[in-house]
Amino acid sequence: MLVETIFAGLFLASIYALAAFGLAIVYGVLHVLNFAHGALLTLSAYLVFQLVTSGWPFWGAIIAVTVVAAGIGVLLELFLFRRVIDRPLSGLIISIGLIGIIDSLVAVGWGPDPRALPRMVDGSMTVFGGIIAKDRVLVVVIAIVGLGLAQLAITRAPWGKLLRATAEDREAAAMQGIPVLRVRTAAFVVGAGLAAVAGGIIGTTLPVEPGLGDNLILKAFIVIIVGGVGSTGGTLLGAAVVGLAEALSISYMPTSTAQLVPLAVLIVILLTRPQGIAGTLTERV
Amino acid sequence: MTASGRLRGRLQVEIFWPLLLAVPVVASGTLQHYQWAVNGVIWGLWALSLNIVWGYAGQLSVAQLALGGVAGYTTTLLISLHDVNLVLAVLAGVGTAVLCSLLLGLASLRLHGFYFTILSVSFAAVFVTLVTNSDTAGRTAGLLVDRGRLPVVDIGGLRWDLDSGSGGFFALALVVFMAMHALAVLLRECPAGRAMFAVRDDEALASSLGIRGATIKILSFALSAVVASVAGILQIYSFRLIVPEFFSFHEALLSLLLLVVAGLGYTYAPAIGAVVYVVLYQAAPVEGEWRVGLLGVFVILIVLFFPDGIAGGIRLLARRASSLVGRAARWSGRSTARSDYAE
Amino acid sequence: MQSEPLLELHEINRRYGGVVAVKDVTLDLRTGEICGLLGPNGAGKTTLVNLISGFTTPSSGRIRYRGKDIGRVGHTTRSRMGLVRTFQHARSFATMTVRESMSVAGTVPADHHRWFGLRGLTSIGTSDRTAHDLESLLERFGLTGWRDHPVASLPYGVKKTLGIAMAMMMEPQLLMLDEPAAGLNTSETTRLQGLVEDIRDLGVTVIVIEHNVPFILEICDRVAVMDNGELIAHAPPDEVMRDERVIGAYLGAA
Repeated sequence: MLVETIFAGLFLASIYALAAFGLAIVYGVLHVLNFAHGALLTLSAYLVFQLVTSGWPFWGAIIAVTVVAAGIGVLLELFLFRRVIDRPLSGLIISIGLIGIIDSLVAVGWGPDPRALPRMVDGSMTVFGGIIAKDRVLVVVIAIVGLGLAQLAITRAPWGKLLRATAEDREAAAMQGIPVLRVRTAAFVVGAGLAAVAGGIIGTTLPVEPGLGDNLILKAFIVIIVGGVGSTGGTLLGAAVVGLAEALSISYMPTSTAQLVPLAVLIVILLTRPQGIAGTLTERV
Repeated sequence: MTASGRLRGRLQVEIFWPLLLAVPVVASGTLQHYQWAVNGVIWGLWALSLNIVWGYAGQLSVAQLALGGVAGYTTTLLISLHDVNLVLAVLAGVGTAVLCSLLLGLASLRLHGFYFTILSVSFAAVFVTLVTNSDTAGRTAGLLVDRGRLPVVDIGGLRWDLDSGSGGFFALALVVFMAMHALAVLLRECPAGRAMFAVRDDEALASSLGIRGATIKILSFALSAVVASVAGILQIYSFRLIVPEFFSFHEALLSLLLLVVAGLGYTYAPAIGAVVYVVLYQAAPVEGEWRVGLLGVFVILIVLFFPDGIAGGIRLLARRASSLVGRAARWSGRSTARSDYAE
Repeated sequence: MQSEPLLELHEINRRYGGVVAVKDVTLDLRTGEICGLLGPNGAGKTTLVNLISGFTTPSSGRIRYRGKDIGRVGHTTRSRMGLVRTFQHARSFATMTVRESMSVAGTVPADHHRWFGLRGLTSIGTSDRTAHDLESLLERFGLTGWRDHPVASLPYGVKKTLGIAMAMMMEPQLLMLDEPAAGLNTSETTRLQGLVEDIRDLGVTVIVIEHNVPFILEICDRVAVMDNGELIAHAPPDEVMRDERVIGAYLGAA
């Protein structure tokens, strides 16, 4: 059913966008590929699960975990990433090391079996003749509204401009009086916070298992590159493209080929237009 | 001693010293230690493959394990489906991996840095996806590597059963590692290796000195694919199993960690990486789930204090030690030591 | 002394979109001469060197080197043919020592343009001849004391000299020096003049781009002057000094 397929595409796009947005901000400003973003997402999903099972209301849990994640983000930036500010490779390795630490915490805390967060809303609805689950609709709505607002903030709000200026050229921004270090910390806080929110929300629709972040992180890379590194708007665009492409191919192709489609999109973009759909070539390719 | 005589002497030490690492393993002789040591060697080989393409030539490729996987699956399928002789199957596996590495190499001519790395990630992901969806390759359950029994080697009265877990297979793995390590040392000393470092440092400058970046990069990919194939094939014979898990993105990140922590670009880094893997990941007296976290903590500490890795730290200490010795010798009045800044 | 010019440029043009960086430049270079290239900033000097060395391709026009049209020959091959350049900003191999850098520069002369560069790539260490050339070049350039020093921490003037020494390891027939005196103090500059003349005495033809006018006038056999992409003079130093267009270009830019 075409409607259902398109909606599936929107749903996937929403998940990818939620997972990738924070990563895009951190990469844009810090120029560090924070591999630990996925692990942070997974950990947040588990923490939300833990709180909800202990009786917390869902949105309360999300807020609490987001605050904790933001705090972790501050600590990571101040005590780790700032020390290696001029060594991007070291930053990369640190983020990979963090994955290991978080993986261990998750394994010790909750074991390898998948957990399930209760859906935000039960039941399904009929749209244009297609049957879709209500909670998935909610996810799409949250993604569109939430990330749409975030994107507006980044393009219009004054602090959004600071963010972009620092992302484009750290030294030039510093010379214009922008408190670069504080912007970095802010970017990290926002990134970590978004990872937490994404983890919590995604955890209601996908099983909460140790590999949750890993699978999403690869898709997040694809989405960011296809959309355009350095452009959060591009990330949203990339998520739409990849999500729809994936859903369409799952409908019309055997699974094995369908799984290759997002990768194929990435490879084609890399070889033909590496700066992405919306990207400007600020990075040397 | 002539300059080339000194060089030969130094190279011999460099090439053979990792054998010393085998001594404690052989001395203890337990099955578990042999298994650990084999795993260490395999991870040392993954690191060595990455060191050639990244440490020497400057191309961060996350696809090395996938290349090893290509070799592994090719070898296994040739033996189980077509009854091919072991040696031929291995050669075919290596050959296929090298061909795939040429694709990567060509891509590296178009894309640089971060973008190339992402392409290598997608290359590896394509490999894993293809294999996971292929019935012939056994999907996620993989294939058993039960054919192709390794030979028993008879040298002057000593019998080495290369299939044996009580030392024979370790001996094979060790010999293979020493060969690849020697390759890496010699590569560094020869003009091709120097050209790789030059391309890594400043490709435009290198090309203005007549060095063809394209040739050098493709060569580095091909050589690294040989090492990766060898690592992959050893791994599957060690476990008598081949599964896509072995060559996943997660595992590739581990090889990256080990190499950088040991010292990117240093010829002895892979051996150090192997030791780190054995000590922290296998031998450490902690519960299995904490292992990767322990490694993460160790890695972060090393990276913060020794940006050049353990090998870099050793070099720093060696320099300080030698300048201390130099100062002491001068002070005691009997030196021919050169000053730090001769002019 | 050969009668045929070593290098001939015939109506070379380089356009970037609407901007003409080099316009209809025609000049020739005799074997064994030191040719200076002067001109105000933006005159097109570096573009011209990029065109000659092959780092840029001309929009139109011909380049002949040793009688052969090299318009389609890439810069790496040109350097193997003896057409070598240095860079304005002291480029270097940051992780190497002086000796290792020189050794890299000596890689290619040993392997004679064959097999895409793979032949001769398997010899271990440095061949005796290359090692000898390396040491004698270091000595000639006053770099012997810096032999095992890491390149990254060299003083700027030494780095620039190293760049020239590395170019010389290529056994060039035509050497192009892009602002070799920039950033050098007076005594270093004088030393550099002697070096350039030494290089010429070794049989190498030299093109020197410089802003330092006395430097050029003192050592060059002929001087080419560019302004706004055009070649406005190409003559021995005294003639060029008196040329009205040259004086106009420099006064206009002052």
